[in-house]
Amino acid sequence: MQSVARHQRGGVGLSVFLPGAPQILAGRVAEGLLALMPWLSAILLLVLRADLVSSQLGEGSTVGRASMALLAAAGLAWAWSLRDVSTPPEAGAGQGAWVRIVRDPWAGIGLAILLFFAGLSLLGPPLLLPEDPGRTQTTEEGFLPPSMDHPMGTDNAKSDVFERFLDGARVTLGIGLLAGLGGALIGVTLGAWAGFTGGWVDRVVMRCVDFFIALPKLVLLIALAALYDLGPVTLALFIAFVQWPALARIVRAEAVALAQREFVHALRAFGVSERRILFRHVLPNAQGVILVGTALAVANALLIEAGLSFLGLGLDSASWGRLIKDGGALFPHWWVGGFAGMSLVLVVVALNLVADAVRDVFDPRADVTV
Amino acid sequence: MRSPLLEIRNLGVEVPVPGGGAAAAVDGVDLSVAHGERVGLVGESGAGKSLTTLALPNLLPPGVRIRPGSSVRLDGRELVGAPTRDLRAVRGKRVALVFQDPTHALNPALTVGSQIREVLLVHRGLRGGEARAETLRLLSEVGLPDPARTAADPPHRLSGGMRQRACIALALAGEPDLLVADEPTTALDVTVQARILDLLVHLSEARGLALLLVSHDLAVVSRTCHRVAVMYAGRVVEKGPVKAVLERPLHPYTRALLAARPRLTGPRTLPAPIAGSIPAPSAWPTGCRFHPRCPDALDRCRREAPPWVGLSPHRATCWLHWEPGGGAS
Ligand SMILES: Nc1ncnc2c1ncn2[C@@H]1O[C@H](COP(=O)(O)OP(=O)(O)OP(=O)(O)O)[C@@H](O)[C@H]1O
Ligand SMILES: [Mg+2]
Repeated sequence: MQSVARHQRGGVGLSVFLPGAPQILAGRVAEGLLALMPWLSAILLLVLRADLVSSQLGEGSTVGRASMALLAAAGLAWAWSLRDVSTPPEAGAGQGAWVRIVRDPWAGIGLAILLFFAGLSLLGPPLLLPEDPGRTQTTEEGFLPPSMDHPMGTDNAKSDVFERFLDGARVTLGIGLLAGLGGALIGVTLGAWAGFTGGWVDRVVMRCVDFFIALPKLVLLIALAALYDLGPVTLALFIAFVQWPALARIVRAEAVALAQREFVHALRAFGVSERRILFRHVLPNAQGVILVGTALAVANALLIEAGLSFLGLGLDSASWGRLIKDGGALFPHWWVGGFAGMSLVLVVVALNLVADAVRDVFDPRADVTV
Repeated sequence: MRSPLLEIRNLGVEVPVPGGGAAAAVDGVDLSVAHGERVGLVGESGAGKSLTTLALPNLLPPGVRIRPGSSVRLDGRELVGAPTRDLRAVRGKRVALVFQDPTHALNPALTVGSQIREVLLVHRGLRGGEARAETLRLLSEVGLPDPARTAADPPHRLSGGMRQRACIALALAGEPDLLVADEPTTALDVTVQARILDLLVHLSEARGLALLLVSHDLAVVSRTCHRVAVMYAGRVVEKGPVKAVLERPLHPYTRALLAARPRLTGPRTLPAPIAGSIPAPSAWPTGCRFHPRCPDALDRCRREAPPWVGLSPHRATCWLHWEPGGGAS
């Protein structure tokens, strides 16, 4: 057992100017960045776009609301950090599974990356793009390298890559989330039900799973994409549809093992119904597997979306995959696809970092030692 | 006298046999438990004690079934063949089980309190503040020193003895009339065992709760129960008031069990073990099932199943005490 880690460094003084910094210095990366990022973004916003904020704040416009949200988040972060540095750590705190995940340095970095992109895709478009979308749409020249006017350069159609990048972030991350969560919802429900109930239910569900796993997924998706005119939601549902069998299989294995456990038998002896046992007792014990599976499903969905776009079968509208495709060969116009590609890799790596930490924390071998 | 709370008649439990087919691992058990009475069920490993207790609210593992013709009545109501719905209303509510290993009987992912509240909700419809208050009351009733803290802890934070107390609180949550405890102390430290047994006796007396206590050990039963039934190879071979059975055992198997107990006083001889062990249900001998290990076996013991002998309530099935014309030696 490791003793209570150092709680913070730098104290109240640092926290007032850079909330989150004392926590980051003490190794609590995720919590620290969670506070520091909105704080720094809010300052940047106020410094760089003071005119915009002062004219729009309080108005019901998107820009006004986004600025309010960012300023509120920064205020909260500041208050939290100050309170955190001025209260001593509780003895014995940090035992909970969630706290251990958040305080794992690698998972912390992963969570911070995810948070960064979530914030960017939600608040970026209203705050960082000019109100009049037409202004940067037509630039003087195509394939301008990054500059102050065009932070990510321009593409062949003479439009601003940064704008496409921000719009694409919403679409791509949204599809990844929807497809991953959708696939997880179907897979977890069916897998847990089959594994826990056993018998013919198990056999039927697992035959379906085998069937879907045996299908070549990418081919299936390509066929679907070629047949249908895809919007982001339909695309997400298609991706969810090819992903659930893998999740069902993992969760089922866990449910089969859990169904044999003595506490399940004991619950029956107390007259608890099968449905309650499944949802209130078996699923919480499988949360590690479920979380890891979901995180990886989201990562996978992101890659699938990019892959389809790259093959020219994805969305017509903005998405990172589309940007990567338009970038074509990386050189000489590396800026067109490069930022989106790098971001995609970062998000996928971040999801894997978090999944690894979750796996470690919920590892059944690890909790025997308490 | 009131009719017994639990009345088991001719209970048979069939288990699958490796080569195919089934064998009766419990074979014609008769046993009754009155309201508030404490009854011990004793025997070696493989005697069929656990299957007997699991058969009561039909919690037998898959593949194991109750033989037709068996009867288990709870306050006169037949449980054998009752629909699952009715059985679920009995489980935890009328008859609650306490398991051998408290470590595995609790859900590791939930706090002790939330598990107790679940039973309170399922059987008594208690929610919110009411359920929380009752949870704390139950935890203090089973002698846990800091109920509020224990309720908020996951099971792995508790010691073995505390866990078993939490399991007993869980069993009490449905306000059952009968507590069935299958070797509730074997997984515990010796120092803790006696305290758990005392707790069970105390609860039984305070609540008028009947107790069916399964054990390997006659000493455990003698300090807790009013009556005892000794099981061998799927059958009850002797039953009666604890004092009578311990002081004047009729069946050679009961005598052997008593002799096998280590003594703290007297000459330092090694405990005399009963040679051999109970065979598998598919290989039970004819006649008296104990005869291959019995030091006094007669020719007749090998051929014919022995009749009940002895004066009620202390009786045994043994040819040695049989006299033509009835009565015991
Ligand atoms: N699920 C099962 N399948 C097949 N045989 C079983 C099953 N459960 C129990 N048996 C057999 O039934 C017999 C009685 O088992 P039971 O568990 O009731 O014994 P017990 O008296 O409780 O012993 P112990 O003191 O070891 O707990 C044993 O021979 C056992 O092998
Ligand atoms: Mg047993």
